[in-house]
Amino acid sequence: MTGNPLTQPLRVTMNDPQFDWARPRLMRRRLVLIFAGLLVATPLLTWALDSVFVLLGMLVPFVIVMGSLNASVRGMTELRSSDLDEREIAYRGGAYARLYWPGVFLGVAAGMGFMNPGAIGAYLLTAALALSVFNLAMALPTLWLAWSLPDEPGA
Amino acid sequence: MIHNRLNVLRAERNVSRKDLADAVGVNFQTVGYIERGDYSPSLELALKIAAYFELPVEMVFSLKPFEALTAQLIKAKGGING
Repeated sequence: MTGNPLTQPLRVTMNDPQFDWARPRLMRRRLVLIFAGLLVATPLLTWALDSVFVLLGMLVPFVIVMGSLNASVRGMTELRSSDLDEREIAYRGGAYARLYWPGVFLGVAAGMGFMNPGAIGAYLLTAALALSVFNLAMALPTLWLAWSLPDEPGA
Repeated sequence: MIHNRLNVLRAERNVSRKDLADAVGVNFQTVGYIERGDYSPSLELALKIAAYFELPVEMVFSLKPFEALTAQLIKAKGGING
């Protein structure tokens, strides 16, 4: 079932065996830690190098790690309900319910950062911080599932 | 927690997790999660699984742990020397 992620349906990509490397719990947890590292590194590097290109460049590893995280939980937070079974829908619902208020809080904080450029000394630093917070808010359910789900049973 | 005999039933009838999953319309991982007790199936899914094995649902799922097969055999034979 291995195929091109750009041409096949998302449901197929998320269950593609080429992403089996990302599915053991240990690897999922490593991806979560890498994602956390990127969240911290983005404002630090942007502030240290004072360049908007650093901020834009950091989006590339974010997209790669986020894609891997999504594939590691078989797209539970990305796919439509019709593409999931009852367990996946229940797990997703549980994650959304548990993380609703933290997500709202982080989303509002990111929005305030985007609307008040320069609030924390420098425009770029504020933007980088807001971007990190926004990314965290968007990824929170996936991060939760990737961290907490047990290892998958075999076929 | 809901206990189940899926492991035994699958082994007895030589059915893979994927075969069972395809028959009842879930992912094979879900069958594995149910077997391990990590996920409790909905009533609908439990009934579908029981129907697949052509057994009453209480023979596949239970609120109490199932007795080991050896213990059942010993009991059926009327004791260890029976």
